[in-house]
Amino acid sequence: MFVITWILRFLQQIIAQPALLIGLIAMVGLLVEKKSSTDVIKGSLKTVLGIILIGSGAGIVIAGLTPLNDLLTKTFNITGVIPVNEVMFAQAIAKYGSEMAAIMALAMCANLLLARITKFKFIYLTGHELMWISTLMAIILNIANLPAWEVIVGGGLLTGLYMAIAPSLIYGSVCKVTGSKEIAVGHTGTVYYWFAIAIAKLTGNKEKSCEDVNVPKNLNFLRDLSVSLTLAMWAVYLVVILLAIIFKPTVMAEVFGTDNSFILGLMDSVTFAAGIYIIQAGVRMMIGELVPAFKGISDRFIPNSVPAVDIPVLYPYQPNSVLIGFLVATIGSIVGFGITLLLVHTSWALPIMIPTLFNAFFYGATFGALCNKEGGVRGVVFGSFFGGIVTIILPALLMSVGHIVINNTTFGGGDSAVIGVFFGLLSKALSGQGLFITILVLFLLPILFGRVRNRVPAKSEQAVQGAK
Amino acid sequence: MSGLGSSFLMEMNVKKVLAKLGLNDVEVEHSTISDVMPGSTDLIVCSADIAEECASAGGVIPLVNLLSGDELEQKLRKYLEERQK
Repeated sequence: MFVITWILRFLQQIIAQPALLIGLIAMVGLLVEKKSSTDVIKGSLKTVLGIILIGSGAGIVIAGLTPLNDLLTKTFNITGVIPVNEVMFAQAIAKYGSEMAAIMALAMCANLLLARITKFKFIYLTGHELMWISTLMAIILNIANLPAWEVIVGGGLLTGLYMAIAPSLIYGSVCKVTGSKEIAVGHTGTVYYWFAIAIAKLTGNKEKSCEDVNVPKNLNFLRDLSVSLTLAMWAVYLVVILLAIIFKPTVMAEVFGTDNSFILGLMDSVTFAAGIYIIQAGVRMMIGELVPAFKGISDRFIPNSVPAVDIPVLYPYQPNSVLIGFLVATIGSIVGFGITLLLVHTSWALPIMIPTLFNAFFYGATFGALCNKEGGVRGVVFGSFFGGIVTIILPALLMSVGHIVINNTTFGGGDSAVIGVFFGLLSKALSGQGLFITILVLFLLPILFGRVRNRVPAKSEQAVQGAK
Repeated sequence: MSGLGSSFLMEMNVKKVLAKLGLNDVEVEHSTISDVMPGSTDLIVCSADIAEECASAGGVIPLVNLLSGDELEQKLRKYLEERQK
């Protein structure tokens, strides 16, 4: 009897530690793959290490942001939100880690199934973006008060559905950039890209390509995230510090004591960038075993599948457009931030999003790469500018309508926002079982209506409709 | 760019090509531009648009099609031949 209670308590304590539980799941996976014993030990330990790094990184990021939010609250009585996937995920994992891992595993199976039997042939190989979406699902369905098994099954099926269908939204434009049909893009910014491409098609002029414009190449040093995030954050700190000195000088002493606020602002910005770096190192460790296994299975069982991969595959084809898109989207996101500021005391008030440039960077570069083929210089400028605004507005809606927020952070991806807002509204009309059944029906739709065998994914109107 | 997605798939490709060339004792890792510094590695396989940023570490193989095994194999063979001279 004593032994049994001891074992039960032992298991209970493992389950209470998401890091250990996920490590255990990784170990089972590696054993199933029949890896060597050293690989099993290395792989499962690295998964646990990755999760610990992610948690520590989150603490460091928040430490770098706290003075900024103190300044904003004490001076203007507002709070700024950081819509950064990495930070949001790192904080959510402590609470939703185990469910997230189970959702992810099921989602990959669902993606394989859909790619096998429907016309949506995409295999979503961007492991970290898959983690953001799985985490989002875990949070949404927990808010809707579903029991744990329904959170996992519902979340897994929905995430798998997302993985198979979302890449089709921009597949046509991606093919134009790469000049082949072999690669798709799997990224949680798909809705932003779709929007920017639509604007570029409307306003653009293909005659004049961005690649013929002279762009100072040394701007490329901003592609180093540690550098650009520090600089961007410091700029935000400087502006807020200046405003605080003008409007409420006493706040300075409250937040920074007697020390020089500009220097402390710089230190906090470096701290912020360091935290992001650590989170990403942790994520890299955590998904290290996952993606090769997933790719191996899909290569073997679904030979005609199209891999949906991370956005940098587009950049080497359009290096100039990437820089222009990034610069213009930065301006767009600052304008978007201005819009949230202006709306503060109106009935349209949205949460205030701090432009960390993190989002403008990835999304902006992709706007550039995709819009140039659709609308040349003019298309890139208009697409990236309005795209940049949307990268601020959609996360704000995710927070205010979808109620997805932890410690003033939320997801930055447009797809996360659309899914979150959709379920935020849906859960007002439906609750519990109704919601779960809706998810099952959604998952069955492409199986019932999209069953075409051995065909390259067609970018049809249905595909676009279905992905929304 | 964050060293998480596309570079990971490139790593898998590099490993595949190395195995094909019979080079099994080469260590391959994927990472972000922030990790590029002199002496950090012998050779960097990267996207063509950031080749200059990666040059400080040593050898660079810039790819235009990041996922093309053929392009990689061709350029890697050339690099190895030149190194042997």
